[in-house]
Amino acid sequence: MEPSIEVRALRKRYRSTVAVDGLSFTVRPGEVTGFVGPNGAGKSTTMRLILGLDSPDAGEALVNGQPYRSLRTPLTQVGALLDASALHPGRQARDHLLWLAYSNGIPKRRVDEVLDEVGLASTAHRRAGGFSLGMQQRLGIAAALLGDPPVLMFDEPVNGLDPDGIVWIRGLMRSLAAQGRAILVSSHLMGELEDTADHLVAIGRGRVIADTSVAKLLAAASKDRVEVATAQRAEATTVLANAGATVTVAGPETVVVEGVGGDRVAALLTEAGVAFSELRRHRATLEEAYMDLTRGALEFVPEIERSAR
Amino acid sequence: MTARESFPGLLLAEWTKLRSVSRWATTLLGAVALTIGLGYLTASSNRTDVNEYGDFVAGPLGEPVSDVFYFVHQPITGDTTITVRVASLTAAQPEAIRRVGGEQMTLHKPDSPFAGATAGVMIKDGTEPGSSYTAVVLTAAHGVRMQWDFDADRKGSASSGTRWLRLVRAGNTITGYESADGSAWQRIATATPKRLQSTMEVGFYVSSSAAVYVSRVAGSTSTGETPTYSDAVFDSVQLGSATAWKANQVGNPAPFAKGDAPQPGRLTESGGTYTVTGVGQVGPRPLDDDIVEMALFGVIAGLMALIAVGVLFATSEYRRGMIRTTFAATPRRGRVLAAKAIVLGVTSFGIGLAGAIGSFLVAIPIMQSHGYTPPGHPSPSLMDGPVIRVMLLTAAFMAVVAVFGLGVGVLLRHSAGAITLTIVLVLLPVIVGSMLPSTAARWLMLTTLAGGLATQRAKPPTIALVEPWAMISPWAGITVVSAYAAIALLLAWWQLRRRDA
Repeated sequence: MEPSIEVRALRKRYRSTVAVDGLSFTVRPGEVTGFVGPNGAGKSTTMRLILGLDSPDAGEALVNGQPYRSLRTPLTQVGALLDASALHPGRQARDHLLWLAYSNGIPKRRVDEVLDEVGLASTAHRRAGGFSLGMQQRLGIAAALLGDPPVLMFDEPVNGLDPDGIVWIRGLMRSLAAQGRAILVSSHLMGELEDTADHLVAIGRGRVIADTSVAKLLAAASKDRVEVATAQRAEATTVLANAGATVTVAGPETVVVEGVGGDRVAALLTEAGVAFSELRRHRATLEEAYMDLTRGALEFVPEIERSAR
Repeated sequence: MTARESFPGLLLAEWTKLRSVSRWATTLLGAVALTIGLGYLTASSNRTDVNEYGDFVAGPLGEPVSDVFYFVHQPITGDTTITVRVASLTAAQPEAIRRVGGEQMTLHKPDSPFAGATAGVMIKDGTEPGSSYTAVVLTAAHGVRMQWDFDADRKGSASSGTRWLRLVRAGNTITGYESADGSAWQRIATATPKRLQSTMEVGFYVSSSAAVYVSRVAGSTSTGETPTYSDAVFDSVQLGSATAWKANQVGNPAPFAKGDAPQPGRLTESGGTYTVTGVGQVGPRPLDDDIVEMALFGVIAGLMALIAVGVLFATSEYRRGMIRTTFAATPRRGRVLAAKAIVLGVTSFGIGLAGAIGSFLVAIPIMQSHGYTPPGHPSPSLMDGPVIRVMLLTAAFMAVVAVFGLGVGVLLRHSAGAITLTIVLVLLPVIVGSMLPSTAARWLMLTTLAGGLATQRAKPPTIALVEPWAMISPWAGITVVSAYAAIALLLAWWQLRRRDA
């Protein structure tokens, strides 16, 4: 059985609010799957449903082909970081991992291994309540890694981490995926997943908006756009617009041209005597791609915000 | 990785949780200190002079006894057999309610085979109160019994009507028999009484326990006694080498009565039929105060600390969402609850046992130096059966209440609320019960957590004390508390299963 998370037609309602509304997606091995959506879109609910903490009203979530609640040593199958502050503040970091290890029959030496791996070896005997948010995140990640599981889930792991920490966790996720594990990582900021995620599941209001590979998404969003660096921005804009291109100002000396190929842009500008210092293919950011993606669905964004309140 | 799920592993996980929060460890040790400390203070402030002016009759075993009855007897040397037919036994019928100085007192009916109206045959070491004896008796409420030395009691038939009774002395033993018709005899038991001289007083007798009246008002219990008189008719009296019968009252029928001395019993004889009127009781008469229970006064304080840990062991899981970490690690929630209950129960049992034994060792010597000595208060030892029972059941009581707190914690998910509720459920019935009439107080103890305090009593239940829990047996007490804990755990389990974490 390949490591995976499969979510099928999952539905969960809390009183009058539908948090997850017929969600289906799959997290595959060897990839980091980004799970994005605005706050309140249902990301955390979905993760709780995957972990069997909440019961779905309909549909199912399978981890490595099995419902989570039927797993006997779940920590060796799925590691999850949901809420880094979900620990007893009076307990030492090491004891927190120790009871988790005992509960799943995980060898005790793993506790020291993961503490070392997340860089908490020197603070193992400090009370977790005195930890900074970043240290608590690291402890939560240590707990997720404890059982050396083939599937990992992280809910907003970057929260509270300093820049060093952010670089570290991205590297960690990449290397975990490279080892063939299935990784699901949620974020409400698309930018955070840049350079990390291979695949993207975007949700809004409990429904899937997009389920696509990051490479394809970026290619689609980049289209045939060309970026022109020029001191004569106004002139360049006029010339290119007259030729039928859509021109967007992207900086004080930068415009993005859509609808006209790169060769033709160079020819048009040269012909008109507009000087330019650089001409390159435009590469969309994930943020832009996401905006493109959700543009059609923008009308319900305010509603999402309302339901999140 | 070779991970394997096991219930012992889960127990170890929950034990790690319990021991790794240093505040809880401190509280658990504090529970021992509180229990012993309060026991020490109570022992230091209690004094008694009961042995100095009490009208004590000590039995052949050195314990306080009641030895009051009307005895028709003669001295017989060597082996002998006495046979009588109790033609009838007419028990006194004391009124159910008495008014004393405007206060209403209710009759207490002790459920003891030594109490009530009795008529029987007896072989006794002289007529001095407290001397060794062996008897076969027909009782008004407990059938035929064989009893000796104020302590031993063996059941015969359940007969309450006309009955033949017989005692046979052979050397150092006495055997008791009964019969419906005087020809077919059933053996009841064979006794070896403490003192069996060559010459013993042999005869027949009637006793009739004093009617005990009790009233309970806020914070105090009053008891009063009135002698009662019961009659029995004996005929077919057979005693080998019999001479003349002597008849006299043994013991004082009402030692504490003021004014007119109560009437002793009496005998009328006509043609071999003897009608005897008796007053008094033959049997054990322990003081109501129980020094083992008094030594454990601090248990209630230690219990408060244990309740706090028990509740927090559950509610701390909810305070910061740790329960999700717990259930993600062990999706089978019932097993988590079971592991928590077992770990908490066993730990609390150990803490309770340490507190109880410590209190006993600290408080008993102090109380003994303050007048709580034999014969009124025989010296208890940790090896005595009732004391061992008290230690184990008291520890069990504390453990079970802590587990109840755990269940309430899971149900309420709120520390202060759950701690308060559990403590109120233990203390409120004690306060209310000490103001209620004894039947209501007894009922309250049989239905609430406070009944568990009965586990502290080494002596039998009594209604004469203010402490309402003294009215029920320790086993009834621990049963009530266990039922509470079981129900709380079942509700908690049901909630955990159906609720989102």
